[in-house]
Amino acid sequence: MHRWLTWQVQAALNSLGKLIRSPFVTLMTCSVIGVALALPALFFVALQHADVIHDPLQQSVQLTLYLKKNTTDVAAMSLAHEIEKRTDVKTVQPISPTAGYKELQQQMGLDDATTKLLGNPLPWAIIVTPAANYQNPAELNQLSQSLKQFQSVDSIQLDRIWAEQMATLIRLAHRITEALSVLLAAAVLLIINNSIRSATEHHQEEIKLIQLIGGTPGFIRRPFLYTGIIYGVAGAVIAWLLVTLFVFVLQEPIQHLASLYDSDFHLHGMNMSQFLILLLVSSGLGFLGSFLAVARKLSG
Amino acid sequence: MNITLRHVSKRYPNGYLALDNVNFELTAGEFAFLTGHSGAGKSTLLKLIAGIEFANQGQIRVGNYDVTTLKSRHIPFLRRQIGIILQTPNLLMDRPVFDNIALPMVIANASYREIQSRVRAMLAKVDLQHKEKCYPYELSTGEQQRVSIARAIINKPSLLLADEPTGNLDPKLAAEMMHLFQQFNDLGMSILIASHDLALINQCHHRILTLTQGTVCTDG
Ligand SMILES: Nc1ncnc2c1ncn2[C@@H]1O[C@H](COP(=O)(O)OP(=O)(O)OP(=O)(O)O)[C@@H](O)[C@H]1O
Ligand SMILES: [Mg+2]
Repeated sequence: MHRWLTWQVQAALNSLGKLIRSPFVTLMTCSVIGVALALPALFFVALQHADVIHDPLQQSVQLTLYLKKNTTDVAAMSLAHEIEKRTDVKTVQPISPTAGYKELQQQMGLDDATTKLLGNPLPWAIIVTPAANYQNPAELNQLSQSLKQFQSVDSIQLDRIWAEQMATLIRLAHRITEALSVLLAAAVLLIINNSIRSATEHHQEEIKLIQLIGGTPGFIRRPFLYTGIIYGVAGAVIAWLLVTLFVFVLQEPIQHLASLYDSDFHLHGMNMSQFLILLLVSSGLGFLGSFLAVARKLSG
Repeated sequence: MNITLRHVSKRYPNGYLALDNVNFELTAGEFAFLTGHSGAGKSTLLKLIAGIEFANQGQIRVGNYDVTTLKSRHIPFLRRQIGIILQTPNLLMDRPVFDNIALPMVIANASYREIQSRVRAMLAKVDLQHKEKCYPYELSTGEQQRVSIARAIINKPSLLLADEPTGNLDPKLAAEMMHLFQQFNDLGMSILIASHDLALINQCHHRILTLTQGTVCTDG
């Protein structure tokens, strides 16, 4: 066992030594692998942020009911009460034309003189927040339809729509990222497979000789497997560096943008477990790629 | 290790019949020469015994192995018991002499200390003490041949198959190598040497197998 381990370590060091002896080619190969891995990694990191941004939006799904212009205060308030009793509604917030007007005034910085001149054009409004388990698109639609039945309701605005579109986009982005990951993983596998295959071509004489004096396929495979794994590990590290660099460069502008929206949004790079997954996948691809390359050589 | 060949024929893929119904037996611990004109099939015969080429007909037994029906995953273990010296010295050009000689021990998973002492001893035996760090291209053909001799016997195989091992050596060195083989034979190693150096063969008083046109025609 001790001896076996010693040889494993020696084979690994040998492979590393060979790679270091041709630094340019090695660096090129590792960089290509790194870039191929960095792309899906970046997408994953970005999407994780999209989920964070998106989450609070889902909480604030609201319907705004605009009542007909001639609705009296009493009618409006009783309608609000009636809606509040529904099981699919969590809260209602009636807003009188005066209250709405005040808010508008503040927001737009209009003075009293102008407003007196124009008169108050706003109708009664009721902001309805649906109950927590009535927030999916289908039930929201149903709620909206049934609220429309009320005589005094003029129109309903669904704040959900753009959030819904956002969610769809993010789902799509997730799909694309997954597809991209599979494609680029296949690319990494091919790159490593190809490098190792040309390495086996290079060491053809050596392989033949080792076979001649009784080397098992496992013995022949070992240094190539280590080379493949080293490629994978180096590629993962390069990918991590690229993602980190990317986050570092974008950190400031994004934070600036977030501050404009009064948000303390932070850009995060890869965390430890994500990096470990990347490392595992990448070295696994290295192992597989080289195993297949040597298997082809040994059977041929 | 003993070798038994029964009705062995070898036809190369191009249709050429290199060996035709060859029969002979080499008992364990025996030392024999295989001779014959160029193209008689000496190298072919050695390759069949080592499982490098495969017979089309007949049976070849080497020790407990039936080479003719051997599964490819068992071949490495047969090869480890055979020291093979091919007609053309096939050394690793990008490794120094030391590494070339050490290779069979590396494959057999020996410890570095063991390897070091055995390689040094072998280097002395083939008279290459001072060439340990040289690369094969820095050696003469005769020196390369001696490296491949050292590599073949370093693991003390139970059978040595040598194809013209002294082809590029001067008579004195050739005799020295024969003496080395003799030492290993005295320790029980079976030896089969293909050679057409009749002068050298006659010095040694061993059994002589003569191949003519792919068949063993004289034996003794
Ligand atoms: N790979 C091959 N394909 C086809 N024919 C071959 C092959 N190898 C050898 N032969 C033929 O088989 C015959 C025997 O070859 P072999 O190498 O065994 O001869 P040999 O006795 O070792 O000759 P030499 O003394 O010149 O080394 C030769 O005529 C050769 O042309
Ligand atoms: Mg020959």
